[in-house]
Amino acid sequence: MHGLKYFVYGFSIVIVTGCATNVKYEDATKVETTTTDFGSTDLQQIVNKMVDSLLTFPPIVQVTMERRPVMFVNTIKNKTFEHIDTESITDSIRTKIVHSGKFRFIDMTKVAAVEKQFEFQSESGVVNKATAATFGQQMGAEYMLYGNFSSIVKKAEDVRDVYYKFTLNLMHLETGIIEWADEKEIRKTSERRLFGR
Amino acid sequence: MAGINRFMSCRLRRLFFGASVFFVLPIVSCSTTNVFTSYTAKMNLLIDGITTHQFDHSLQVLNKYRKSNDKILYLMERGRIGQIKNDTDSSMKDFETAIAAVRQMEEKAIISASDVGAQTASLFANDNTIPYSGDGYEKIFMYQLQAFNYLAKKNIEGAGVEVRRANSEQELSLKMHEKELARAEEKARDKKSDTQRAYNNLNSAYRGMDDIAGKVKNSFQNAYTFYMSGIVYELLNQPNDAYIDYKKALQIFPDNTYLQRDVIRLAKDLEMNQEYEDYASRFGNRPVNGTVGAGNGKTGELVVFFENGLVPQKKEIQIPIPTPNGIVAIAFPIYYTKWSAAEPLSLSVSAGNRSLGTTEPICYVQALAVKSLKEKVPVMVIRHILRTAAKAAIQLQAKNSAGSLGQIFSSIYNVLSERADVRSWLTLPQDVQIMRIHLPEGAHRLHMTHKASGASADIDVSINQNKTILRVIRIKSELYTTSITF
Repeated sequence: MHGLKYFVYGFSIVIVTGCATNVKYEDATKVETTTTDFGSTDLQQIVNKMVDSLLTFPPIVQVTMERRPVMFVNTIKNKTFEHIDTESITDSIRTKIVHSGKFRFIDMTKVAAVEKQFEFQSESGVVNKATAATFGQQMGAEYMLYGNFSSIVKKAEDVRDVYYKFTLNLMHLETGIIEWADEKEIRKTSERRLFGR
Repeated sequence: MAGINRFMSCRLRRLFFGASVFFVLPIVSCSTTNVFTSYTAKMNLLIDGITTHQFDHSLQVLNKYRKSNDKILYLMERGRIGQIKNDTDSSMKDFETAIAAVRQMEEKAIISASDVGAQTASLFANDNTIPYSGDGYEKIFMYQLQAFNYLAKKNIEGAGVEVRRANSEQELSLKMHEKELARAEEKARDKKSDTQRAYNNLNSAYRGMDDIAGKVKNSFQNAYTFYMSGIVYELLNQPNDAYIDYKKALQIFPDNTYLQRDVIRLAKDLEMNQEYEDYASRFGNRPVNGTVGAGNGKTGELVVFFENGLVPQKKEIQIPIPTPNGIVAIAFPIYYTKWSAAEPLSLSVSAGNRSLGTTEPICYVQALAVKSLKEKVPVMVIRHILRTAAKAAIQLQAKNSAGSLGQIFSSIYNVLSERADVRSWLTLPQDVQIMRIHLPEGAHRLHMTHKASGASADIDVSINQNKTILRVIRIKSELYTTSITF
């Protein structure tokens, strides 16, 4: 009889623990390998490699020694097999560069919003003219960041091989010269398990 | 002692038989509702609903199957119906879920418990217990129609992702098919005499499908997909990629004059001089920019995708297959449809009734579907031979352990359970046609007529200096249109 009782207890414990969802906080920079799809680790690797490479490139070090040139980020073209938010990658790159204190940025995605604000400050009559931002004082960008994100996917019956290549270029707008460029390659494979559900 | 033994083994056998029925029946009954009622009968009700614009009813019914074994199939149908209804959001979500399900299936463990269960159930019941994984040509369409959803949202980069997936699926399908065929042949060698006779019987029954299947080389190469991907690349300003895809499409449909023009135009633009000469001499010196109806002012391009009719449906046929217990009639899926030529859609400007031209075929979906079934014959035959053996074994078991009553029951079960797998994506078109013309910038009211079905409609399109895509879907005598101006 006792045996049965313990069995029932044990069984119900298994059921209870089996049903509870397990939520944990993890380190955001921990290596993530759930699938071969583009993930947080790939994003972090790309951002770190690109920013480190840019800021340690000798001519760039020289240019940024005494002044902080202005740049803007153009879009990264998504040529991969996945719907990837490339703006999220460029956001991270921009944030990291800003934090280095070497460059300053203007944001081309916010031009319309800024224009609207100018209009409000100068024409609505609500804003004190003395504190209104004056039109035509914005700084022109000296450099443009742009790039491509492409991938090659090979699938066989039990293996999936993904190769990502992220290329970033820095163009000097006035001369059109590409002052710096680098690429980050990532290769991931996954194998189907032999047994499973 | 011997008597007791015999008694025990008899009881054991009975117990075993009872247990096996007990285990098999639940698998059969829970796995899917298509096991005993045919998929086509169920879908035809919904398709009738579409033609009378009762989209919401169809969408609601299909929504119930979101989590079923055949979810890939139902979600593809639902995504397509959403698209016909012009409900891009709902369609996008359905295709997204279907794509995820396909991916999950492809990455499932090689020996998967759920697969083994379904395959075993299929041995006792029929092929409908195997979860639907989508034929190659269907998966290609799934990605492509999703690409169209992204175009409708004017997310060209997103459309680019989907057409790349569709194109790589075409390559993969071809590779997988070759491997699968080799494996089936290897298996067939073990049961050579059995399968040979089965093949012969099946092939003579399937001879009627050769007419349609013969129109395509294989079931995977889809020029429509390549063409749409060419358009997407042109919209993305990647003419070189567009050129490659137009060329692939032209290889499959060399007689399509719109394709010929596109290839010649891009060969010239990209300064592929040798290729330009070759194409120009092969197809004659067609006007490089088909400037139909262009005035002196600025013009834009109108690209028409005409998705015509509905793909044929599989029917059931009984074919005698030799088994260890004699000849047994087995239900196989078959297409009885005859080849029907692609009837063009004519476009004209409503004001003044000036003709703009007619569409030309770029994909015979009917042929892809029929060919796909033919390609699966070797694998199907093997599974059927295994199944008849399993069913015969049950019958014998039933007779030995439960007497004649058991035999009667198991015979009835066998007859009832022998159903051909007639599942396929039924809301796909029968064929697809294209047209590409230049029109003056501005708004136009166009008139479309499809002589063969008597369908006609008017649509307002706006043309700017880039491209306008007009997609027309015909089901029976209804035309459903969408236009997207970039």
